Amino acid sequence: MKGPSVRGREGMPGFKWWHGLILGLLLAYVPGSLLVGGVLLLPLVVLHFVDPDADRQRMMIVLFYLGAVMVHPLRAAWLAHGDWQTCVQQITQPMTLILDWMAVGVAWLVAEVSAIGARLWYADYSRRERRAIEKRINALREEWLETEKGSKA
Amino acid sequence: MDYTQGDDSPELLIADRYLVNTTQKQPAIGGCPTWVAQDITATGSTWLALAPSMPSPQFSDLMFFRHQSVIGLHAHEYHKGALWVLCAHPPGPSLTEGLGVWSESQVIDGVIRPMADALEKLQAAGLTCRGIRPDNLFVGQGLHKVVLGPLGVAPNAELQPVLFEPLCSAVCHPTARGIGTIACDIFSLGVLVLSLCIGELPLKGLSDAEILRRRFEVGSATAYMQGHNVPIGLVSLLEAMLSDAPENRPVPSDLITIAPSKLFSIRQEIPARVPLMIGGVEVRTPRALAWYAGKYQNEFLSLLQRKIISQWLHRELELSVMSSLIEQAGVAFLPSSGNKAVDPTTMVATRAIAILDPAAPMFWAGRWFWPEAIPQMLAHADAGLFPPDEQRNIRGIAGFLMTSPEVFDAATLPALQSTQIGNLAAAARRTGAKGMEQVRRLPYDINVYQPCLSSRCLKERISLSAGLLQWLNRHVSEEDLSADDLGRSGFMDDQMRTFLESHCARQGIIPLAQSQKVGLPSWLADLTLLAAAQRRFDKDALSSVARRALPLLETELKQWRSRTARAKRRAKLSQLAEAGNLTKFLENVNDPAGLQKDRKMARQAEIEIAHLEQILEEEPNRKAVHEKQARNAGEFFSLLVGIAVSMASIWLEFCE
Repeated sequence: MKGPSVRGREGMPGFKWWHGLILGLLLAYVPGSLLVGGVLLLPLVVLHFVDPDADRQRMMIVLFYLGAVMVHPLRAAWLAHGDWQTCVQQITQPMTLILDWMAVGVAWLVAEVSAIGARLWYADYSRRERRAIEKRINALREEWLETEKGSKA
Repeated sequence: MDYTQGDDSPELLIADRYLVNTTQKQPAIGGCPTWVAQDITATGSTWLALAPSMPSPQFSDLMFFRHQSVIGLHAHEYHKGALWVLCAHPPGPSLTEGLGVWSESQVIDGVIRPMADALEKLQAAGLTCRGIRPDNLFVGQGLHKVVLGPLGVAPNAELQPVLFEPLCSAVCHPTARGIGTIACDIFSLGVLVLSLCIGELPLKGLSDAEILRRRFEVGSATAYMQGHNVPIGLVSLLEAMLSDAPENRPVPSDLITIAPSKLFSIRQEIPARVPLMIGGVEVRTPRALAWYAGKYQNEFLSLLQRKIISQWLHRELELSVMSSLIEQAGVAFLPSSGNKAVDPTTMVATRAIAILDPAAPMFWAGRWFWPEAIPQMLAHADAGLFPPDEQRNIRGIAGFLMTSPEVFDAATLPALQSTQIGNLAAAARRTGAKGMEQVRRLPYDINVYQPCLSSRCLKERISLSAGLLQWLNRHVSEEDLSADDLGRSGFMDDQMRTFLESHCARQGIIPLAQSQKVGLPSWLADLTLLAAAQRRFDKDALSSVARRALPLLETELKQWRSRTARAKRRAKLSQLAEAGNLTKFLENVNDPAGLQKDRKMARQAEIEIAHLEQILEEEPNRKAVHEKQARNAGEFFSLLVGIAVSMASIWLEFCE
């Protein structure tokens, strides 16, 4: 107990002892469904170890996408009452696995694309703002500072 | 003088009523150029139009004087600011065209009595005539009654010949004779009576200097009557009238009641048997000595120092009081008085002369004059009728008399001179000006009718402020006034400024040229003065002046910081220049409240510019912030899409 909890503290923050208890109970009673969930959540675990930037927020986003893929296999596992055969069949379906791994990429893609969009929008906004300020400065200069320039010249 | 009119037509209409044809000049009346004026409102009635170039200071009183022996004024009008006097035709030619020999009774009834009556009325009004001379006296055809020309159109006694003036004013320059007294008029009347009795002017053919010399030698009465056949009944009267001592002359009331052969007794002055020699001339009376003292000042002072004069007075003339006074005056030679501004010898000569002849005019700085004539002398000096060094001399005398009247406060000065100096100093104080400006102001302050003495418009005889404004408005073109002159010395010269200031002061406006002293450029000070004069005297537009000032004022607009305000005011300025109201014209530029507001707004604009520039400088920082926000937005959107996708997936799974 000590070893995993220390590791959990280092790698998985918030991993408490009752998490292990629940995991053990699930392993004992519905090993099939747990297998489906575990396999399908694998990309998240991989992401966590591969991407150092992956913070809680990003994990949460990816989890939603993975959740979307997991709905059908988990339901199938549920309907089969956790039948091991069916569960294995579910996780060996290539379409499900492809979708599952692609979900991570889709999440990243959507985030990047919308970030680019937002960046473009901000750039346009600040350009417009800059132009308005320059126009105002010029107008004020022309109105008030012309004689000063004339006298200096 | 040549009176050129603006338009080519020789006819000019004065006050929309009197038509004057300037090509038909008449013989001068009262020393003024004269034309016939037709009254167009009444057919057939004509008057004489006189153009006085320098009316008497008392003209406003004299013009209401009416007497059967004086040609009364019909009207006085202004045309283009110049005074025109309209009077009736004289009854006949003037006495210069022939005196004729008048009998004793004709002289008494036709000359002495009516003239004495007129003089008495003048005296009662506190005025003097100073116009009894042949060219100002008119006699009807076949009548033996003289009529005097209009009074007051000539400056005081300036036009009187030396022959007709008593010694106390004959020694002065014509402009320095002053208003004089009725006794002076009585003397002139005496000369007239004598001339009519003998049929010619006495001392005919002699120069003025010769006449004076003869009169000082033997006395005026003797000099005039010697060798002439004077009616025996008038001899005593003439001796009294022609007496050199004013107190010996009869007063007008004595003459009104005169009867033939009436005797006048006067205290005879006994000349000294042994004459005093001064400058190679034999002098026998104190009066003559006084005159020659002015002529040969150095000899006189040396005689005075050696006490020869006091001894001569005491031994030969038995005038012991005068002798001791003279001796005291000589002692004052030593620099006793603390006043360093006065040369002690000048003061001694002045005092000694005043003691020798109390009726004599003032002698100061080599010049005989009556203090009351100072404004008139100044006017002539300003008009350039004196050579430059004499102009300086006169201005110096005037300045000294006005600023240090206490120097002449001595008991030895005759009362008449002291009062006149006192009046002069009071008038000078009233001007509120200082130095040369005070000297310039005096002629205008003393005489309402004094035309502007500027050399530019002297010929126009402008004596009305409105007239001067309109004249200026007509004469501000580029040829009349170059741009350089305008920038440097303004629209007017000193005389015009002084003229306007005097007229403004008379209306109770505090002298305006103070603005010039405050440091405004002279053209702007002139505009301010013109604007005030326009407000007060003249409602007509001065568009030409305003148009000429336009470029100058536009440069003044530069102090407005706002460009739109400048443009707006510039446009308004041109409009106002066309309208010609100088007050509004100037207000458009001289608007302290507006200017202050403008300054305030300019400051605010500067602050705003600085603020905006700072915003621009901080842009890179904001870029980093934007980058982070964009990333967050991307993740958030991704989260939303994820939620939507999972929802859609659940819906598809359970509800399909």
